[in-house]
Amino acid sequence: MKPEEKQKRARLRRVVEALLFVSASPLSSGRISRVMEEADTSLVRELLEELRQEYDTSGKPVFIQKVAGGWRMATRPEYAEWVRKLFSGDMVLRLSRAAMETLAIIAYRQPVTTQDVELIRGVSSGAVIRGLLEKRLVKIAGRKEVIGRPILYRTTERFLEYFGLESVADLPPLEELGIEREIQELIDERDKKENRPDRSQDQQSA
Amino acid sequence: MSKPEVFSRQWKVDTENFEGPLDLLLHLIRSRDLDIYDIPIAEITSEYLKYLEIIKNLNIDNAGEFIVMAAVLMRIKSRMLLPSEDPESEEEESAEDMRRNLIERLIEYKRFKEAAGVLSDREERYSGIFPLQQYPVKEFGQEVEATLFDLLDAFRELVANAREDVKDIITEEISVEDKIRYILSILEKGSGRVEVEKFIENKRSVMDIIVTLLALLELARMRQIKIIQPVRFGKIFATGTGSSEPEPAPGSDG
Repeated sequence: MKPEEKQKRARLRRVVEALLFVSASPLSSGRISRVMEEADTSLVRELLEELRQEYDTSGKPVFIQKVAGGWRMATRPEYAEWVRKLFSGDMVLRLSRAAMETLAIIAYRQPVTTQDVELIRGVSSGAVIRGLLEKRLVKIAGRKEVIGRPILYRTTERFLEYFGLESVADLPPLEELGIEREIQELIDERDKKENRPDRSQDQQSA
Repeated sequence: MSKPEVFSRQWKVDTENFEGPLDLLLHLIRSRDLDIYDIPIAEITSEYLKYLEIIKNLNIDNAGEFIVMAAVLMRIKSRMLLPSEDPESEEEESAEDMRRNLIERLIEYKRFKEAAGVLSDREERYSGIFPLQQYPVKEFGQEVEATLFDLLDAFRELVANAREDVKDIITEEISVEDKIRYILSILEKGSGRVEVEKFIENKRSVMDIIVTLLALLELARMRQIKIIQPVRFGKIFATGTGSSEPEPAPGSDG
């Protein structure tokens, strides 16, 4: 690469950095490219990748996170303690188990109706869904064209951001989930039956 | 076993986070070391019914859901006792089909429970990552929308101040429609957010103040504007919603 080309590239990278810095929500490479004009989407993607490496190797407390179909800057988890303190007493809110189950069903089966969720969970779920709507983790995605035209729900971008996902496709395939756990259970059980301490040695080997 | 006093109907268990019948079945399968793919219906039914007794006494709101499941289990169990003349018979759902259905439901539910676990792990991992510019207030909405009461408070104050000078209030008449057009014209000129007081042309006129309030409420209802209060108990602003071309006000007659 010629020196002037290299220089130009470095300048473009700084522009990308500036845009990421000011944006509160993840920016897609397309969006960045439209703003920059000089760089097409594939170049922007290269620049983002370079920037990410730059941040990763520099040991900065901020990193470039690929999330919800875009890119953003965020502080590394090591600094969470202080960031939380800065936001004076900002409590760490955790979703309830019912909310997690409901979100999982919506995420994997979207778009779904309340009834679809209830069929799987076996318990009424309207209130849980309303709570998720309020937290903007799910949104209304129209109505199902069946009798009663029930509301359909989808997960939001905020859902992706909250769970650090690039897209819903990033979630592990559902079919693999039960099995993995089952295999693990079988292994655990065998270990227990054979009264073998597992790999972590702190278990007492009577 | 007689039920203890505490289990009387005086209190109700909030069930939003309470496990349902499928959780109970999974719990039984786990704790009794049963094979989920080959559930012994007779055994699990009797175990389930023991729990059902307790659940009924707990007076939880979704006890009905547990009872429905008990009925399903008992139906499978009773049908299994009947000799089936023709195993290929398609007339009625066989006990085996019903059992398979239940097993499939349980397995599906279990998968989603696992998926919920995956999400929980991710929540744990990503809750310590803060994007730039994200102030926690934004958790529930980009801009804090003022409540109706915030707006009423602001106007109540204005009305109280206007009352000192009441002589000229009867003379002029302003319609809500005119005010709506006035507000939209100001917002269209740009400049983002405008303090709601600015829409009142004559601050001494109670009529003007009230009409402005009604116009703002109407516009907010039609989603033509957003009423926001950036700082709690602070000044209230209106902004255009941006997206839409203003619709004519309802009942507007020019």
